[in-house]
Amino acid sequence: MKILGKRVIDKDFKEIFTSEFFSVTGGLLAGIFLLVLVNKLELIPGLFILLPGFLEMHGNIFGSLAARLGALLHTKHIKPKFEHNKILYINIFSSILLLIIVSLFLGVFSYILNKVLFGNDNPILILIAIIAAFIALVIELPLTIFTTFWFFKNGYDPDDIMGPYITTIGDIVSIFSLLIVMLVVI
Amino acid sequence: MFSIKEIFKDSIGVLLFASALSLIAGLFLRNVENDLIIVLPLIIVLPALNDMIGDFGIIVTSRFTTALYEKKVNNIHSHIVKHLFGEVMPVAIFCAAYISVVAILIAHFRGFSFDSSILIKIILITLITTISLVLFVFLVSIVGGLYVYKKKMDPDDVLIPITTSIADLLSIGVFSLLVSILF
Repeated sequence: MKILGKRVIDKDFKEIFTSEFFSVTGGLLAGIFLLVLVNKLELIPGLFILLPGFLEMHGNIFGSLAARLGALLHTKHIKPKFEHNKILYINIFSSILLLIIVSLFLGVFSYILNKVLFGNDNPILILIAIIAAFIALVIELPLTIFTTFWFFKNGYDPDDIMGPYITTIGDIVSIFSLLIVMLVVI
Repeated sequence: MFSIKEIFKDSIGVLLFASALSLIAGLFLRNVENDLIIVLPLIIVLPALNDMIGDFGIIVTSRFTTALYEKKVNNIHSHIVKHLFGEVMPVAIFCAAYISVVAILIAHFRGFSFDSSILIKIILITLITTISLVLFVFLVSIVGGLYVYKKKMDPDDVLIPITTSIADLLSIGVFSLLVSILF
């Protein structure tokens, strides 16, 4: 397809469009779950403060991991298969370490903001942030690595696809992991 | 991306900064909670809208970073930047319209009654939020990417958390502002 004499629909455009369409559809699904969750979220005061950061953390950490893996694949520092590779291990371990620190940060500051601004002393927020982050980590880390490799091996550019994919899966997995923890806690 | 220390050093500051911004977004969310519960399509559309704008930040940053590493781009006027914009903006506009319409239909099936003015308002809110923030995120990704790369840091590690956090904070901010004006 041409607009103003320029070809606009190329392989990258199709990849961005497809991945984004998948992403927003997944986002709508997350929206429906959020609608269902609204009443449950109210049972733990302060969880609304934690929610955006918790959802975003997974996109940030695993989006960066996928982008780094994409750059490493493009520059041929790693191969698109899970094998003994020091650079791959470094990237995995770094992501786990970052997730632990950031989830702790989110939990502690959600608790402090909730206590200072709304007068709710609810330290369980810290526990929820850490346990839910671990549940999501177990699902998302292998998904991120294997799908990045799979897309690259099959001729797709992970840079175009993984961002939307990770944030969508991250949202859905995060809401579910929060639900699991809340069912245990409440 | 070749040592834990390097990744940690590049990432931790921006991740904590991003998380702090998200906590502010969380406070906004708590404040607009009642509006969102009344107009059901708005709460359905919120995660998709947030995701979409953050996604474009990730796409633009990671594509631009790869181009930087491959030495295909060195300034903001490069044809790669224009090409990327031409790819991203039409997809953003289409997706904004799509999520608005689908969210309204889903809400309708859950008993939410609406008329044409509500339909137009929801589409307007989504479109204005999307276009303004995609423009902003695009600018941050490109200008920030050039700056961070010149500082010998990895733009993927630094800019992805920043763009997604700014997108989260501003999308909830712009969204709630438009909701308060139009509803």
